[in-house]
Amino acid sequence: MRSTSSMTEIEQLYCRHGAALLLFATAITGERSRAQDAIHHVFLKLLEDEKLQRATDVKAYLFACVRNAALNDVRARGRNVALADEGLAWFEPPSRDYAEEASLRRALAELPDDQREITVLHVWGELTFAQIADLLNISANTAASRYRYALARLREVMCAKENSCVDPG
Amino acid sequence: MSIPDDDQFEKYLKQFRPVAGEPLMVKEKAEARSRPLVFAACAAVAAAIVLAVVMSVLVHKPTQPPGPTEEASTTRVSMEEFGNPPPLTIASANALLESAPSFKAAIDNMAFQQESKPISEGRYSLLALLSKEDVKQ
Repeated sequence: MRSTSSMTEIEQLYCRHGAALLLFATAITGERSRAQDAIHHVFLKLLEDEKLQRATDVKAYLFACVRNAALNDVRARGRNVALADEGLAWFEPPSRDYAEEASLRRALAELPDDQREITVLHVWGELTFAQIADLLNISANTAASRYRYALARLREVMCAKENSCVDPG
Repeated sequence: MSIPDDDQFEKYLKQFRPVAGEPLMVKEKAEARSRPLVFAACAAVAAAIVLAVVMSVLVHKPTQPPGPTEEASTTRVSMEEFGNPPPLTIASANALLESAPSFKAAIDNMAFQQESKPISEGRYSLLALLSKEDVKQ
C-alpha cells in the first residue's frame, strides 16, 4: 500500500493541476462527468502503481496519462455529446460574464482536435511547446505553429462580436 | 476593442480560469480497497488460532491409541473408577433380560445398578480423606 506522504503528494498534484487536467479531458471527451471519471481513474492508477516517482516531468506525465484515459474513453464509447453542447461551464469567466465563457467554449469546440489540445495544454496547462511536442509526439515547431493557427481562429470567432474580447491591458 | 497581439490575446484567455473538478476520492477509495486486505488478514489470524488450538488438542492426545476393543474396555474401567455407571446398551439390556428371572427384575436391575464401585488398589477416595480430616476451628 502507498505511503501517506505519497498520497498527500498526489492530492497536492490534483489540487495544483486538477482543474487544467479536467479542462483538457473535457476538451477531448466533450462531457465533464466522463472527463472527471478519466481523471479519477488516472489518479487512482497512480496511487496503485507508484509510477509517478519514476516520471522525470510530473506535470507532463499527468497530462499524458489524462490524454490516454480520455482518448480511451472516447474510443470505447464514442463522443455522444458535441463539444461545448453539454451546457456546463468549462471556465470561470472574468467578471462572471458567462456569455463570454460560452463564446470561448464554442470557439474552442470549433478548433480541430489537435489545435484545441495544444491550446488547452499551453494556455491553461502551462506546458511549453517542448513539453507539448513530447506529449503529442510532434516537433516543437509544429506545436508552436498549430498554436498560432488556433489563436488566430479563436480571436476571429471571439472578437467578431462588437465589444467582446476586451484587451486585458 | 480587438486584440491583435498573440501575447495579449493569450493573457486575455488566461483570465478564464478552468472550473475545478470534484474533490479527489483517493483516501476513501484507497481505504475501501484496503478493507478486503484487512478482512483477509483478520480471517488468516482467526484461522491460525483455530489451527493452533486443533494442533494442541491433537498433540496432547496419546500417540499410540489403543485398539477398538481395548479402548472400549479402558473407557469402561475409567468410567467405573470415577463412579459413573456404564451406559445402557441394547446388548447389555438383552443380557439383563435373559439373566433376570422376571421382566420386572430386569427393569429394576437396569434402573438401580450399583453406582458406587469399589476404588481400585492404591487409590484413595478424596471424600473419605476429607471426612477423616479434623476441621480447624
